[in-house]
Amino acid sequence: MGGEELRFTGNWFIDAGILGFVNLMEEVYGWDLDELQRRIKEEPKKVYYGYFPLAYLFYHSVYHQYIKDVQTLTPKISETKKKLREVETSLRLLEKELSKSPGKEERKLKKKIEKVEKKAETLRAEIEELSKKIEERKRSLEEEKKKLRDSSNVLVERIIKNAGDNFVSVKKDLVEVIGDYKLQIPKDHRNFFLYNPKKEPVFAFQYLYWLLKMDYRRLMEIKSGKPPTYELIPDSTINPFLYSPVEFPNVSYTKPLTTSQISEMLPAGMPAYVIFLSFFNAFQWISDSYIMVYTPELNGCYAINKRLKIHIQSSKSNERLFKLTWSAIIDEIVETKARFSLENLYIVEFENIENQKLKGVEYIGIPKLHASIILDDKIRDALNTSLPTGNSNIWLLGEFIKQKPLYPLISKHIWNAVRKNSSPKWRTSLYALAVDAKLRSEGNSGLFGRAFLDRPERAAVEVKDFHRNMNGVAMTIKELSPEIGGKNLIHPLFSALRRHNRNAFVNTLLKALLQSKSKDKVAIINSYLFRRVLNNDSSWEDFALALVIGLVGGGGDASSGQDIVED
Amino acid sequence: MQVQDRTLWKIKSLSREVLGGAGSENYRQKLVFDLLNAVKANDQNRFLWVLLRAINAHSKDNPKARELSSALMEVFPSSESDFEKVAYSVILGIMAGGES
Repeated sequence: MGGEELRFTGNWFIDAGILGFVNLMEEVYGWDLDELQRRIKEEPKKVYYGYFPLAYLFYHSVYHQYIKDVQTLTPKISETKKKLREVETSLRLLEKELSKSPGKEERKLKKKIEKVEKKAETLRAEIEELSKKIEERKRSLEEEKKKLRDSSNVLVERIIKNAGDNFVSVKKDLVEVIGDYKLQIPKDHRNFFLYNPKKEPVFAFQYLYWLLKMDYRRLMEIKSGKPPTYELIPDSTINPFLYSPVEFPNVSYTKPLTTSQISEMLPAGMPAYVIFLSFFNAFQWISDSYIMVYTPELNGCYAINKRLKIHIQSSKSNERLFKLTWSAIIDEIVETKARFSLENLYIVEFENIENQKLKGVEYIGIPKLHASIILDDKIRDALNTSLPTGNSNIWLLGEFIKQKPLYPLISKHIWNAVRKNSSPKWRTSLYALAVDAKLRSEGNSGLFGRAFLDRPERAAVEVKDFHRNMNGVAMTIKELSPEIGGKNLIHPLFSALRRHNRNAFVNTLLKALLQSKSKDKVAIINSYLFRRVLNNDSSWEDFALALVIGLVGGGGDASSGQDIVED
Repeated sequence: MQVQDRTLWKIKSLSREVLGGAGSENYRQKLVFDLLNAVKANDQNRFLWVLLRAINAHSKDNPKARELSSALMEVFPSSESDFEKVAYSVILGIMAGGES
């Protein structure tokens, strides 16, 4: 009988398990989602009860060991590389000295150089050896994978046929393929039968098989008569996101879901324990936390996480987590134009698991309004930049996604430019202010207000309108600046903005404008002041700061491309 | 009660018609300067005194002047933030006078 294709359920926890399952099968067998779906359709039993437990055992022994080895070798390499760099620098200095020094010092220096060169050579050899070791480990992992892949077809066929005799007749084959596996306890399991104490791989396979089958009689036999507990009602033994029966003694009143109840929510034929055993394969380790990007649709979610994985592998590892994650997400979504995914996107993140307790768990979502703004190429391009704000640089798009107000950042950036007498990032700053103005004008309409229910179709259009307006007036005041002593106005205007004093801002500016002879330009600014600053209580500061940007100058920064007057 | 955008538009447009062309360029500049000082000090009395004196001197017979006066009567006295809005609408109206 064919199986039902994998699909998400809308419950992020279960869906994370499904994604983890897809990732695990891809890691071990190299099947992508399409291939896995095809196999599940054609031979679900083989996939769930044969290939999957084998993959699980492989992952938590051979693959785990490989990761451990690489994690020990990599820091050693970087340490040696650092040493080598130091040695090379001193070598260069010595050579320089030699070229300048008089003849009598020559011999001494040459000797020294020879010594340092030798040291560098040793370090190079060390690096090479360590790199070779990693390559070696990679090769052996691939060999192990190949061995499993080559033998699994026949083995799985036999497993499914001979499960009834508790695998007595396939034991020999199992030993041959997985007999050498040394199980390593994953962080997310505590006191789980397989690791407490560590079981032989064939015995572990038997346990997994009956666990997936939900055959509690067999499980009792395997556990020497002990009745099933978390096998029946999954708890924090298997996943720290689940309840702990020790910490919640009243749990018997609240009735947590049983394995069979969870099975009913899943695609037909999928055993519930697949979810719990693969859950953490949905997460990826980036810099210093585990993260999973979740959207309630399997294909999109799979594609985003796969892209993220590729980004991680190709990055220099010191890139910031947030930027890395979001650039992967945005690239994927922009390519597929999946507005739905972005609007319903969450990041589940945790720092670590210690003693079966999750540390630093965070769930980050993105509101519809923000999503619709991000999906606009022009606005996204403008915000997707790093902005100097004095002591540090900030990634503006990241701040926007985190739903931080942009006005204070732009204000800092402009002030920084004033202090350093440099040009502010004109286009980025104006777009950020326009976005900020739009968000402020939406205000806080309550949980189920308009902004929550409606799709803000026009948000990006309005932001562009604001930007055009700001840009026009900033250009105008820039041109007027010499006539009205613009540079002297920057400080008093800034000070008015800092005090949120609209009266002082408008007053100072109007007094300066009175001196101008270019009446048409003054009229443009006056009309802007009337519409955007005076008659706008929610976001007047954004529009006012745009005028200051005009006075500070710039308007052609490196990040802005050429189109200053645009749209 | 907050003064409405529509009222501000009306005050601005009437100020332009009544005082936008009053006197010389220098006179208007001086007038605006005086008005700006009054708003800065948040002095409603002074603002109205300067403004009404100007209307009286230049546009007594203009029917729009009466209209402006009655519009102002509706909004004065007002809260500090409303005063700012009304006052700057008047000032921007006067400054827009020379444009047309």
